[in-house]
Amino acid sequence: MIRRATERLVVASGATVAGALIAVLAGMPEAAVLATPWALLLVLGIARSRREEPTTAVEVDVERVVVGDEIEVTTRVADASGYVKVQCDPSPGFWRPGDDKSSRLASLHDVIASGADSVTCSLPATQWGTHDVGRVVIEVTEPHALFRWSGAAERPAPVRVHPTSSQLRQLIAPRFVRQVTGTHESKAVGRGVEYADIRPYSQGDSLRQINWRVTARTGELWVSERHPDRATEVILLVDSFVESGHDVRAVVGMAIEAAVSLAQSHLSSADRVGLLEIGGTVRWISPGTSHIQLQRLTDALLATGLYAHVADRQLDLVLARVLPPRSLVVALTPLLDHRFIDVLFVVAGHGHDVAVIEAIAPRKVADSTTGDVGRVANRLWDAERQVVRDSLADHGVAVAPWVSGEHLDVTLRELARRRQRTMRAVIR
Amino acid sequence: MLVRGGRTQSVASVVASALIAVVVAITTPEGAPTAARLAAFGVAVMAVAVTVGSPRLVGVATVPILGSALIVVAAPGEPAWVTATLVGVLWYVAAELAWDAFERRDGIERTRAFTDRRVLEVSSVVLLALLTTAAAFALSGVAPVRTLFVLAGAVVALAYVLGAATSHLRRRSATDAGAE
Repeated sequence: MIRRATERLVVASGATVAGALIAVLAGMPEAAVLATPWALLLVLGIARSRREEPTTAVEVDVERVVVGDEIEVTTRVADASGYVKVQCDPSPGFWRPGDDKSSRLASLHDVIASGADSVTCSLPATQWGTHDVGRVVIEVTEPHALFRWSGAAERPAPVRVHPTSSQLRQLIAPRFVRQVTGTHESKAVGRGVEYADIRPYSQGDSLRQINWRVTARTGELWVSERHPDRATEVILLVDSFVESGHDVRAVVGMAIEAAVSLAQSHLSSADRVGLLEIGGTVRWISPGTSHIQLQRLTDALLATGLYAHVADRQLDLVLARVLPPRSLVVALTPLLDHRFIDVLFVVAGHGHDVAVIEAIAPRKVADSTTGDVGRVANRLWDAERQVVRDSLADHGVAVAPWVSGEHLDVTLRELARRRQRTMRAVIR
Repeated sequence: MLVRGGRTQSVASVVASALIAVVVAITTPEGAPTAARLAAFGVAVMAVAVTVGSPRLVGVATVPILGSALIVVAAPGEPAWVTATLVGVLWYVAAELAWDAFERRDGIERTRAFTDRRVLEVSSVVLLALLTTAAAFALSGVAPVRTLFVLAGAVVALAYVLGAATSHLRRRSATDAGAE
């Protein structure tokens, strides 16, 4: 920290010296009287000042928070007296676009009690992601404010701000399941809850399986068959390609919010959930279960960067190697980048069960244009996107739009309806 | 700017400096209007300093304000101790208010303890200044002014040495206690 004299010291010294000189040389006691408050300020301030450098340390109380929570930044000051001013200056990504940063800066001015004190400031977590709390600027002003120590403390560890996940009432029903007990109804016959069919009793069948009504009517033993509940493997396919002219962060934010909600719901239904993020970098988290997997997935999603990558990658190779066979692939994408759309065709071609949640991007160009040109541009844009959706449907891939602000359950219901329709069309 | 915060302190500091100009104008002897004009100039500089938020300009305003008071008290006649005390204290308070206003403009939240401690510090300086002036005025009847200055200098130096020694000893005992 650097110690500097304040403007008070300069004025007090000048007034004191001038007053004393005039009083002594001109024999004017009134000049000294005029400067008396400044002389006293000088004496009291210097007598109570400390020349030792204060020691400071900054701590953040949490590693993970959810959007809307407060992050408490505690600054400890020791070997100091007077007042402490603490000001946090988080990295630009910490704030949402349009946030008034100055009015939301976590800062405080407090008295240092008995040589050491801690000052706690609260920062509102408004934007998902992994954030650096940033530089913490500390100013220690000595009593009577003649001298001021100023400096910046070490950066504390970054904080992970999780998006708010919505509680989902329904899940995407997979076409293929694993031979593991779960919550998805299987088309196979076995032990379960949902009724499937009846058949004549054969040796080895459990007495519990006997359908007494049919048995009483026919006079022969009949047993009920049921659909077993099975788990599946879900791969969340996240698109983080950048397309200019859109509020990219908002769109990717939507995709990540949906991914976290889906991961949470599927993991609680005993499904194995994995992640494949495709953008400037390819990120792969192999499928797994349990709470730790959710944390792993969330961390990977929070680390999502936005890249305007122009190189064509050998994605076919990656997809063929990493995706478990016959898994449910849920793509979260604004359907803007042709490379990602190509990936969807490839994945569907490999025999995976693919469903697409389309995060609807705000159309800046069309919105800002008025008149006939704007209307035509809008129609062309809609037609172009409809062609993409139709061609995906032809390959058995259902697409459901998700508009910002709408509950994900509404989109999932629509997706289930469209998946049934698409399947029927493909079978025909 | 004024709207950013510390509005009360800004207005109070300008009012306090205007009061000084009034005191100077009232006590200015006839035929010496320079003091009143200088005081008015000082108030104008102070108003500009408060508007633009410049702590240095407050220091610059000290020169015309205290200069005008000096002209008034230097006029032949009875010693103007009361005027000097009033102007000295008022100007100190005005400057502290202005600096406080500038610090409040950063929008940083302040605790109650912080405000209370600052008020205590400024009021203790004012109280000590009044007591010192009263003591000096009482002593000026029994001893020459120059002798009092020498004595006052010696007392201040002695007080400073004692204060420094006390704080050094306190710090050393705290270090020893920490080591144990």
